Amino acid sequence: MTTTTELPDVRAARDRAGKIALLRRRTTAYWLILPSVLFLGAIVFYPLVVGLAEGFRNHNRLQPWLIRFNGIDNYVKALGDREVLLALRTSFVMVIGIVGLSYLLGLAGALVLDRQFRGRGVYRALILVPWVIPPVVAYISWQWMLNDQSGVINNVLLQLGLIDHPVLWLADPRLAMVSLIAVGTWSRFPFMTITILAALSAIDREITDAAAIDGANKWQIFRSITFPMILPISVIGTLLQAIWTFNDFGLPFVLTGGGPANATTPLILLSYKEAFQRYNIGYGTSLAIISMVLMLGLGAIYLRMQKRQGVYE
Amino acid sequence: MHIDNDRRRSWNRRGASFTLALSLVAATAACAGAGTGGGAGPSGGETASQEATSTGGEKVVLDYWDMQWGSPAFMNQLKDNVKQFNAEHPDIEVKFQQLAWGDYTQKLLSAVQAGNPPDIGGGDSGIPFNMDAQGQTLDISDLYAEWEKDGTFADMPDWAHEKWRYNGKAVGITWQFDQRAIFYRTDLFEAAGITPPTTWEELLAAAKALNKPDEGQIGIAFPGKQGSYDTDQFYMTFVMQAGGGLSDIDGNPTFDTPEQLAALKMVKELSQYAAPGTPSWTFTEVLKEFNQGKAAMAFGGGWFVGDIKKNAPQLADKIGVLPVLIGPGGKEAQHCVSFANPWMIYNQTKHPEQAKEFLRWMMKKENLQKLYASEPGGKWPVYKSLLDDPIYSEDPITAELAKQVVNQGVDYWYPNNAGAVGIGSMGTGIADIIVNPVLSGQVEPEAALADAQEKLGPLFVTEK
Repeated sequence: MTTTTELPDVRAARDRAGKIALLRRRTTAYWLILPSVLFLGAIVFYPLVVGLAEGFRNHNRLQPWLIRFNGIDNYVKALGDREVLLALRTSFVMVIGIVGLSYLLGLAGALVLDRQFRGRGVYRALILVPWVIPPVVAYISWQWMLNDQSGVINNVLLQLGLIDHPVLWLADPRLAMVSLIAVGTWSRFPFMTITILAALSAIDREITDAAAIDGANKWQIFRSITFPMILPISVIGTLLQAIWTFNDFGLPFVLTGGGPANATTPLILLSYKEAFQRYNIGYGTSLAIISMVLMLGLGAIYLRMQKRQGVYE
Repeated sequence: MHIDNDRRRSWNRRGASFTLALSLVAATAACAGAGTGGGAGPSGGETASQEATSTGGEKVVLDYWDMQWGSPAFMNQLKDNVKQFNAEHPDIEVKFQQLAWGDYTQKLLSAVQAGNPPDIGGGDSGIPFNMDAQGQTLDISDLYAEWEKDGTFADMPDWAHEKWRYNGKAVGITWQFDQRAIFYRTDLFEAAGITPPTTWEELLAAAKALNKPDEGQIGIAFPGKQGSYDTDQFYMTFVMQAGGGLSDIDGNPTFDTPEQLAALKMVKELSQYAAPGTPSWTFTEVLKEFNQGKAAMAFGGGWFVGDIKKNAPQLADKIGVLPVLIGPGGKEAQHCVSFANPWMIYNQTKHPEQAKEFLRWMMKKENLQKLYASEPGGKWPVYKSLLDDPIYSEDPITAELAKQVVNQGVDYWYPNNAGAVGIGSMGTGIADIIVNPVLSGQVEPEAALADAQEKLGPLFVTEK
């Protein structure tokens, strides 16, 4: 005869045995991912933790007697520093300009390349050229093309009579930002093109054909069918571009040096100058961490979008 | 069931063993890589040969890091010098590693923080001060005593060694100067009936007279880009000629001073006769403009001479060098910028005597002469007696530049190095805060200097 006191013990023992069996099944998996975890720990997590710690220190390598923990002083200073706020604004202007324009160009390019025409394959390959050229090589070439005296752009515009004196593409604060956005757009729109092209390729032609048969014109088809269907991938593509553009150091460093008069100095460049030119490791790191926190926010949105699309369970 | 559990346990054990073995191999490879690539730091930088040496008799390996100083010919000669030293010293092997200008501070900073700097190194003209602030320099006063005794210092401009006497130590030694000057088109000056200027006023007048933008000619070309080390050099030339500097005798910053204001106003006034795009120009654009015959004058360095001969040979016999100008500071302040570039020994070296032997050898006149000769006009001599060497005496422009270096050349740490660390840690601060904002018309000179005093001043704080 079974007593009521036995059942909970039996159940508990069965649960324990089940957990141990599950753990044993997973042990192999954990062992196999251990090298990757150790590697990531060494090159990602350890520097990240050290970096986070540095952000809370007054640490200038050339003034070692002043090194000390100073709490959130670096962050308070940064958020009240006019130069930092200007750099943040510059970063956002760069992101909005470059990502927005590269999306529009990418969308236009993808719509054209989605059609059937002769030599489409060649154009699809050519459109990748700005993306595959090493960035520094591209930026230095653009620097020369935008030179006010001997740059090819001014020379052509002068020859065509469109301007009567050289345009200061890199020497005028406003135009320098326009030039930065233009060059950034040029180098990034191929990524958007191929991303949107992939999304367009996944649209069932029968849907658009059916809409056309029902009397919808091209704009109506695009607005009501095509664009909604490519919207998820568009959002993810623009989010990724935003993160990459916010952290783009090479473009402003090479093209304008952050000038003139700090007009094109984004936060990442300011962080570099503080840490590696003025040896102010603590303050420079705090600027990088502010940048990281902002990008984590974008990253969180990206993951949420992915989850909504069922990429992750 | 029993059999399946056994098989699973066996697989888990194998998987664990395999993974552990893989991790150990990877870790060992990483540590070995760090050991062979690194310097003489305490964090495991020793190689097998160094370990053997510490027990006596085997070859000592030294790491020597230096900049990409010039043309391939120059760098090849530097490597040849190292090879020759190694051949003459069978018990020492020096390994050379080239650093790029773009990221050398990060590399050196990281190496120092990791405890893995080189044994001997070059760098910018302030690197020994910055390294000394981090406790990284080896005192080479004993070498200084040798060089004083054997007449080496008597053959050098004083600044070549006085600059490095710092905090009671000798923290480095100059091995070459890097000169700046104003080049001019002799034919354009002749055609306009202008004699080469010798004062600030004459320079302004010449630039104004020769500035003909409608004819595609600018009066003077000079760099003004933010974030570029090229930009501060033109300005600092005028600061020195105004009798100013970057720090006073007590090491306090001196940005917001009448001398710097005079210099900044001079540069602003000259910019009227320069290209409108000057705030985006580096030496590269300046040289190109001069080579294309579009600039009557150009501020540049010794490498301009070789470049013009190579890329604009039609201009080679139509260029001259302006004499060092006399500014508000008078004849006592008649200086040109000439960076005293050093070699230093890092005090983490495990082989200080061998490192000093290498430095002693590299500093010998005959060995430096080979470097200078590999790129005529690229590097300027630290020995006065080399002015008579054909490298510096055959070409009249090179001869004039070499004389200016030896007789009037100083750099940002002149006349005293009390503010050495602050000066060396400004980065492109002068360009970013002072020169570029004024050239681009965004800030007035007075405001720019006040801003610099506020933002760069804290870098000059020293431990009292």
